[in-house]
Amino acid sequence: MQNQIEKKIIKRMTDLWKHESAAKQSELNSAVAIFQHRLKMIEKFVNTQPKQTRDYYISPYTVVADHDRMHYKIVKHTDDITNYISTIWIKNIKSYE
Amino acid sequence: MNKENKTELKKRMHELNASTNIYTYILESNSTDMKESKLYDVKDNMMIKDIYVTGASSTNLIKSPYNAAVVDLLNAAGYRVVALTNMDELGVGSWSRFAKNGRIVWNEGPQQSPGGSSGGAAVSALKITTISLGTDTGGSCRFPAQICRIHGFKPTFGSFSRFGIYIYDDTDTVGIFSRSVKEIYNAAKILSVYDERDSNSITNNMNSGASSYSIVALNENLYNKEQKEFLNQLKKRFDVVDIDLSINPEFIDAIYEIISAAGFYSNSSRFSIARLNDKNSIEFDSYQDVVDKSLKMFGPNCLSKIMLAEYVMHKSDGVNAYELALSARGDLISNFIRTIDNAKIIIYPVVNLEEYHYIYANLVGIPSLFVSLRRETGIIGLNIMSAHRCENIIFDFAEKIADLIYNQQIDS
Repeated sequence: MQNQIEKKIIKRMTDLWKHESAAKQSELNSAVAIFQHRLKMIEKFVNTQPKQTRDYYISPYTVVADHDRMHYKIVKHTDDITNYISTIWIKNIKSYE
Repeated sequence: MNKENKTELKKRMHELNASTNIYTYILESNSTDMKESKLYDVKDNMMIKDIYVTGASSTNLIKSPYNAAVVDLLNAAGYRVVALTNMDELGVGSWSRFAKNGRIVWNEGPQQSPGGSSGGAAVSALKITTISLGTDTGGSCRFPAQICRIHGFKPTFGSFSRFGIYIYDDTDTVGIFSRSVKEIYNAAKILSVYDERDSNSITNNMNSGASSYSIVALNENLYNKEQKEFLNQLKKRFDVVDIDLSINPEFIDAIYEIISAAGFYSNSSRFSIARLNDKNSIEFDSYQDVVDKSLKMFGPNCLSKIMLAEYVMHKSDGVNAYELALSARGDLISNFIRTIDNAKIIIYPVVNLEEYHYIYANLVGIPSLFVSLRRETGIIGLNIMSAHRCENIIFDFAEKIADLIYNQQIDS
């Protein structure tokens, strides 16, 4: 993932400066090198941190309205969003609202 | 310096600038009392009325409508501003290499540079002025001081007003350079004033110095032979306590890069070519065209910082680097505050070109003074930190080690 973003960002920088003078191009090369160095540093830091450290305040549940079937579902965030843990049936959404 | 007349002073400044490129603008002061005044200059990101203050960037084309708060305070105290000093574009950089009008050339420093981003202010404080004002986001006032063998100071976050200054990010403060610690202290007292125009300003008055304090050595477990020897010298004179403040320095740079990139990203949004279009008369094809043309106004280092911010603010695989950095910063602050409450002073003896130890004070928001030490001490200088608003303790400690401090006696 990081590699893709890195490539995309470097391409964007290079494209922005492609019509500039040779001197500017050389400055850009050093800026790209700095960027890559910083990115590696950050990536190393991110990879050593426990993932989702701040989930304690983010509710893992979301209420999803399914208008076709006229009900709401409470779903838990997982890789598979269809993993419903509970479903609240509301027969008439309009009257509920 | 005070005995020098105005013409000679300007001549010296122009000569120095011809070989170094340290000034972006030398002011033509009409002041007749210049002989009696203390001279200072400011980094080219602090507003001086009716002057084009550029931040060493092509992005800013506006004549300053007013003085920065710090300029007004020093002027009122009888100081005279003589120049704007060159810097890394908008403060992004450590070696004063990225500036609109070219880099600072300083053959006396490594990499032919006085360090950065406030490199011009450091050279000017060494050669011309009594004090120079810079800004310090991650060591930008203390690192150049180290290279130029003078002293550099960063106060508690919010204690000097940032009104009228192009802020780099949310850890940015105004800083002071001088050859004399005493001059830094005098200026710090003048500048520590609450300013309602700056939303981050804190109530003034530096706390009075503590009658006694003990010292903690930062990252002592990583010290080399020279640093250990220096610490042993200090132990004979001061109460150096054995508190473990070993914070893995490996990730400090990363945390700083993430937080500063995000801060710079939001602050740089003010520099839009669309907003400045009156002067440029540039036409735009689309919104993307506005974005592209605005980005192209930045130099490469700023551009790479903005691009970095796009990465750190972005959530990849459920992970947001900015959130992680904020969390790590929170842990760092608790660790430092707990230690400072017990000991009052934290030191780091500086031996080489490493910069990481300056960043702690910025991330925690505490004051920090770099003092150059005499070569006989075996180390280059000392990074001294204390608790929020406890600047007085730092200066008190510096006074007690005056015999170790390089250039302590030079008073302009």
